[in-house]
Amino acid sequence: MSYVEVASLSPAARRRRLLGRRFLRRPMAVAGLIVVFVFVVTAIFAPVIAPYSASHTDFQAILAHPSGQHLLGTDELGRDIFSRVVYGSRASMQAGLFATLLAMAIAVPIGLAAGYYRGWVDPVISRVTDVILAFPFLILAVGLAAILGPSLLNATIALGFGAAPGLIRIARGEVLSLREEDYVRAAIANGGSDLTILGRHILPNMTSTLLVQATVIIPIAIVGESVLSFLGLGVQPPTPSWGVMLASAQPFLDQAPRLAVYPGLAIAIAALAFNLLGDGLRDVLDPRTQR
Amino acid sequence: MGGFILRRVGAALVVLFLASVVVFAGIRAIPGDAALALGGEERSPEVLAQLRHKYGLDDPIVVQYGRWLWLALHGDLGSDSRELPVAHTIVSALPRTLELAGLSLLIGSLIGIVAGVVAAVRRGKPSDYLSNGIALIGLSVPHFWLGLLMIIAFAVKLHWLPSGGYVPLRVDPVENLRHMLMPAIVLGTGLSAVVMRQMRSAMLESLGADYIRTARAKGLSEWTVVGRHALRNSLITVTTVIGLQLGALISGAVITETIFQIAGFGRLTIDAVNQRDYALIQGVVLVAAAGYVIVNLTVDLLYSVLNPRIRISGRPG
Amino acid sequence: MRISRRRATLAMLLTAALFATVVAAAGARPARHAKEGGTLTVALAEDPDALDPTLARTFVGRIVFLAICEKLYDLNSKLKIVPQLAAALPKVSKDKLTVTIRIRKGLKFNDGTPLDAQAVKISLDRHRTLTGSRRASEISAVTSVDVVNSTTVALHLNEAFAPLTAQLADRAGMIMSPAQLDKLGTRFATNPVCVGPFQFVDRQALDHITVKKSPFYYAKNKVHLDRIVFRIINEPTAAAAALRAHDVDVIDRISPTVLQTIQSDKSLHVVKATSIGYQGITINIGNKNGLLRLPYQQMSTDLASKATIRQAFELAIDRDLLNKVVWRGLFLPGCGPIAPTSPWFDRSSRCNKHRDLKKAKQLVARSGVRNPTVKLMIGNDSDGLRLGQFIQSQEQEAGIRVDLQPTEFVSSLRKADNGDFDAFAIGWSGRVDPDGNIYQFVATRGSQNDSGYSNPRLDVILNNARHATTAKARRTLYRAAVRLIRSNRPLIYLWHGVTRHGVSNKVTGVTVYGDGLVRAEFASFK
Repeated sequence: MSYVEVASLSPAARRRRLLGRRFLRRPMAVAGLIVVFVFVVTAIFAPVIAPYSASHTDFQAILAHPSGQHLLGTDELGRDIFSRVVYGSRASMQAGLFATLLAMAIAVPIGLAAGYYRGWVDPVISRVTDVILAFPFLILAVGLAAILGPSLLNATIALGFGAAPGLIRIARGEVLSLREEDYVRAAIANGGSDLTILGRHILPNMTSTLLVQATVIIPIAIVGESVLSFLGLGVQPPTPSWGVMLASAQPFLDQAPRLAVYPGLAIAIAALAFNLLGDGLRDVLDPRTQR
Repeated sequence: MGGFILRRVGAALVVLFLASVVVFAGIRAIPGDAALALGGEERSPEVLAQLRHKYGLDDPIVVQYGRWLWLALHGDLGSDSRELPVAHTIVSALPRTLELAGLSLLIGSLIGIVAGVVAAVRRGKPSDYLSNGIALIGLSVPHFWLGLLMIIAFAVKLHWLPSGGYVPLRVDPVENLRHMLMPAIVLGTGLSAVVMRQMRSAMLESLGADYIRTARAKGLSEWTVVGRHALRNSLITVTTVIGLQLGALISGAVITETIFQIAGFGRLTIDAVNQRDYALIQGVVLVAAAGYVIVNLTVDLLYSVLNPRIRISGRPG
Repeated sequence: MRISRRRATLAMLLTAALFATVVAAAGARPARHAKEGGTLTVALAEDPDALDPTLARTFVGRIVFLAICEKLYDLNSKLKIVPQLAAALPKVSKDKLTVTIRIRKGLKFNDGTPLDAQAVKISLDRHRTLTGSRRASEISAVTSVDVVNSTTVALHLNEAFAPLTAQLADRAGMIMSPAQLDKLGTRFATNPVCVGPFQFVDRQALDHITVKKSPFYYAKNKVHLDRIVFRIINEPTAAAAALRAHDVDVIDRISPTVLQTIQSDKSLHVVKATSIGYQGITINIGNKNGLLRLPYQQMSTDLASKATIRQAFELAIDRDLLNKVVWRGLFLPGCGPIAPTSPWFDRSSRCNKHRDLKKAKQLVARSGVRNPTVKLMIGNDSDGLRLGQFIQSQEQEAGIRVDLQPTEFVSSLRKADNGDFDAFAIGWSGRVDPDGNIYQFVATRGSQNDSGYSNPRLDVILNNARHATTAKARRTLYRAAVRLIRSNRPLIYLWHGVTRHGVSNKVTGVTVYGDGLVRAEFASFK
C-alpha cells in the first residue's frame, strides 16, 4: 500500500482498523468470534451439513451408540442426534438474533425518549419499565406463553420483552451522559431539530455500547429459548431445538445419558462463544477499561 | 430518611398495582371465550352461560377487576381447577421454593465471594485467569443442563443422591438436605459466577484505593489490609448484587423444581400454564410480582442504609 | 431317679406332639394373614382435578375416589356390576320409566351422619343440576328423583335407559354427605366426605393427597392400612426410581420405557389388566363448525369424502406390527370399541390383525383421488410421535400421504371439539356398559362426537339398545351397531391398552380390573 493510500483513509476507517487490531490481539475473543461464525454457518447451511433430516426415524436403531452411521448415536425414535443438534442450531440462532433485535427495537427508541426529553416522559417510562421488571423474567415468559400459546415465535417475543427493560435503562443512561457532551450541547444551542441531533450525534455514539449489549443479550436469549422449549413453552416437538431435545432426554438418563449431554454442550458452547466475543468487544470498544 | 422510604414504598405500590392490572388484563386477553378458558373443556352452551354467570364475566371489566382486587387484598385468590383455594396452594408450595432459594443463595454467595477474593488477591496469576474462566463458564452453561448432568453422575451412576423429590424438613432433616443438595448447587452456580465477578472487581477497586495504600504504608499485615478493609467495603456492593439476583433465583427455581420434581412454587407455575388453569396462573404471577417488588424494595432500602450517598442524590454514587 | 422306659417314651411322644403342634401352628400362620396398620404410598401419574364427584373429570381422580367415596354400584373382577351402597340391583318398572333403588341400612358417611334415601336424592339432584356438573350428560335421562321411604329412592326417566346402572357404578353414583355439602357447597372438593373405607385428611396441589382409615366404615375388618398417601410423580422414570428405592409402594401405570427395569427387580411385582377401553383414530367426517353444532355437514377432505380411502387407510395398518414396533408388544391389537375382556364382547366378530396392502393399494387407485393426503393429529410426546411415524410409513406404502400434526394434549382436545382436524389419534379409557364406549362418539347427538358422524340408522340402533332390557336384545343391537361403525369408519380402532402397575413385594392385596384403576383400599403389608 502506498503512502498516499494510507493517508487517504478516513478517521472512521482508521479507527476501525485500530480496533480490529486490538481485537485480534485477544485470543479468547477471536476464538469466540470463530465459534460464533461456525454456529451461524451451521444454522444457515443445516440441510447441507446434517447427514439425515431431523425427522428421519429408524425403528431398528433406537438409542443406538455413536457409530460410523450415526456420529453421536440415535435417540428414542431412532433419529440421528448429530443431525438434530445441527438443525437445533436454527431455533437457537433465530431466538438469539430476533429476540435481541426486538429488544433493541423496543428499548432504543424508548430509552432515547426517556433520556433526551426528561420532563414527564422519563418518570412514566421508568414506572412502566419497573412494572415489567416486577415480573421475574421466566414468570413473564411463562405468562406470555399461556396467553399467546407455545411456539418459537412467541418464545422469541417473550424473550425480547424480557430483555427490553434492562436495555431501556442502559440506553437511557447513555443518552443522559451523551447529552452533556460539548458537541451535543452546541448542536442543541444551534437550534438543530431533535431528530437530527438524535440521529447524527447521539445514536451513532451509542452503537458501541449497543453492540456490546447485543453480545450480552444474545447468549441469554439462546439459553432462554432452550429453557422455554424445555418447559414446553417454546419450540414444540418434534421440531428440533436443543431445549426440546433435553426435555425428551429426561426419561432416558439412565439408559442413554448422551441424549442429554450433546444438546446441552451445544448450548453451553454457543453461549460461551458469544460471551467471549462480548467480553472482547467490550475491552476493545470501551475506552474506560485499561487492560 | 423518612421521606426517602416513603417515596420508595409509594413507587413500589404503584408498580404492584399496575402489575395486578397487567395480570388481570392478560388473562382476559386470551383469545376466545373466557368462560371456555376458565371452565376447562365444557362445551354445552347452557353450561357455558352458567359458568359465565358464576365467574361474573357478564359484568363490566372494571367491576370484575375491582371484585378480584378486593378479594385478593383479603387473601382470597379464588379457586383453581381442582376447586382448591389458590392462596392456600401457593402458601403451601412457597416454603419449598424459599428453602431452595435460601440454600442456593448460601452456596452461591459463599463460592462466589471466596472465589472473587482469591481472584482479586492473586490478580494476574494463573489462578485469577482460572477463576475468571470458571466464572465465564458458569455464566454460559444452562443450569438445567447442569442439573441433568449431575443427576446422571450422582444419582444414576453413583447412587449417592436421590434423583428428585422432596422430604419436608420436619419429617427428616437429613433426607431433606440430601434431596436439596443438587438442586441448590445447580441454582447456586449461576449466582456464584455473577457474585465472583462482582466481588473481584469490587475488591480490586478497594485494594487500589488510597486508604488501603496508607494502611500498607503503615505496615499493617496483608491479611489485615485485605480482610478488614477491602473485604468489608466490597461486601456492601456485592450484597446489593445478590439482592438483585433474587429475581433470577426465582426464575431458576422454576426450571430446577421441574427437573428435580420438587412441588414448589416454580413447578406450580409451569403446571398451571400447561393445564391452562387461569385462576392459578393469575394468583401465581401476582404473588411472584409482589414478592419480587418487595425484595427489590428491601434491597433498595438496605443499600441506601449502607451507602448514604444515594439517599441524597437519588442516583448511585 | 430313673424314669421308667414307658414314661420316657410317653414324654417323648408328648414332646413330639407338642413340637408338631407348634410347627403346624407356625406354618398355619400364613403370609396371607394381613399385618395391620402402616401407611401405603401410591404414586399417581397425574394430579387429580377437583375431588368432587359432580365436577371430577380425571382418570386418576377415580383412583382416589375408590378409597374415599363409594358408589351405589361397583364392578367386580369379572366386570359385572354389583351393589355397593345399594342393597340390590335396581328394579325397573314395566314401562321402563321408573327405576327403584334400595339403599343398604345403617351405613354412615365419614362424618358420622347416616346414609339414607334423602342423602341419595340430594347427591343425584346435585349431579343433575349443579352448574358445571360433568355428570349431567351421563344421567340426562333422569328427570327427577323421589324418596319412597328412608331406604328407597325412585328415579323417573324420560325414556328407557339401560346403561343407567353402569353410570351409577361410576362417579354419577357417588353419594356425598349432605351435612358436608351444606357446609362447603361448591368447595366440597376441599374436604370431601362420602361413605368410604378411608376418609380425606389433606391435599397439596401437585404433591400429595392423604387419606386415613375411617372409623365409620361398614366393613372395617376389610381395611388393614392406617393411611394411604397418594403422591403425584409425573415423570415415569422418577416414579420407577422411587418404587425401586421403596420410597413408594405402588405406582399407577408404568410406562413401557421403564417396564423392564421394574420387571427385573426381584423385590417388585406387576399387576396388569386389559383395558375395557380402546385406542384408535377418529376421523373428521362431518364436524365442520364444532361439536354439537347440528346438523353436521360433509367435510371435503380425502378421508371424509371417500369411504374407499378410509377403508384403504385402515387396511394399510398392520395392527400386530404396530403393537410390536410402537408398544414393544405390550398391548392388545383390536378392531372394535369393545375389548375381548368385556362381557359384552362379540365373539363372532372378526378382526384382522394384519394388513392387506394389496387391497389398500387397489382401493386407493379405484378412489379416483390422486395423491390422497391425511393430516393426522397426534400427541407431541414420544409415544405420540412413535405412533404417528409408524402410521405414516405404513400408509406411504399404500400410496396415502400422512402429514403429522403433533399437538399438545389440552390443545388437541379443544381442536377436536372444534372440528379443527382431519384425523386424530385418540382413545377412550372405557366404560363397562357398551353404550359408554359407543354412543357419545358416534350418535348424532353424542356429547363427544368429534367425528361429526351422523347416521340415522345407527342412531335408531343405539337408542333401541338403550331402551332394550334384556342382555340378549342389547347384544344383538350392539353387534349390528359395531358392524355399521366398522364399515363406515368414523373411527378406526387399533388396539386395547393393557394397564400395568408396579407393586412392592412387601404389599399384598393390590389389584386392578379392566377399568384400569389400581385398587389398594383393602391391601395390607405382609
